[in-house]
Amino acid sequence: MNDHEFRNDLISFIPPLRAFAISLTGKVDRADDLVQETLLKAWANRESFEPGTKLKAWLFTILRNEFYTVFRKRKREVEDADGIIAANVGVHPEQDGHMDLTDMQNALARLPVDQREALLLVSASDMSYEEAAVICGVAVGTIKSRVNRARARLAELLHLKEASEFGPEPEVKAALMPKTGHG
Amino acid sequence: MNDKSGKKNKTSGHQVVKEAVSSKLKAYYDDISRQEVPQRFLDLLADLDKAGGEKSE
Repeated sequence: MNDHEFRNDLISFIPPLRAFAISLTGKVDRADDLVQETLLKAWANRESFEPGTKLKAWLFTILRNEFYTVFRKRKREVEDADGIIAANVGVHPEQDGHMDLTDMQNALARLPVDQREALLLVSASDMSYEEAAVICGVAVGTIKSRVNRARARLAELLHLKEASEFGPEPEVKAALMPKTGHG
Repeated sequence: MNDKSGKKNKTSGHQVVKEAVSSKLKAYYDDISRQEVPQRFLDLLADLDKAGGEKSE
């Protein structure tokens, strides 16, 4: 792969990298720092990337490692920031229809980070359980259980857990209602 | 039997919740993904590409 191809491939993966980083950190500026670091590292190590393997997984691995390097440095800050993380998200508040986005960001910020990353990789970034396991350096079963726990917790946080709490989603509510009513 | 159908309903209910979570997450994620790539990244890669090309000459 020559440099121009590599550069174009990197550009094509910026949107998924940013989405992962923003969802992981809850902060656009911090996310963009992570993406920039990832691009720099990827470029510096482009010789060691094996064509034919998945560039996306490789890039996500770099970004995740970078995240944890920074995360450890800022651990105390992050631990203090339950809820504060979400409050700092600056995802185009001027646009319409972003209330849901903030709700989701708030909910994600309340997940333990290992569950959050597993969920984001598998349910949002189109990674397989196997790929997510490699990226996170844990067993496939661990990823599966983290994803399941994350989904359950997210459902609670978004009030999707019980039919009785379903205000805003009539379609899903309808789907959840048993067909045989109680009268 | 009633037990069996009750269990089935519960399972499909879980499935619906699971799918609702996933689709909400997807919608949120796609929203972020659709944002324009910040120019700083394009500039950065252009600079790297240029520097790399010069170095390998």
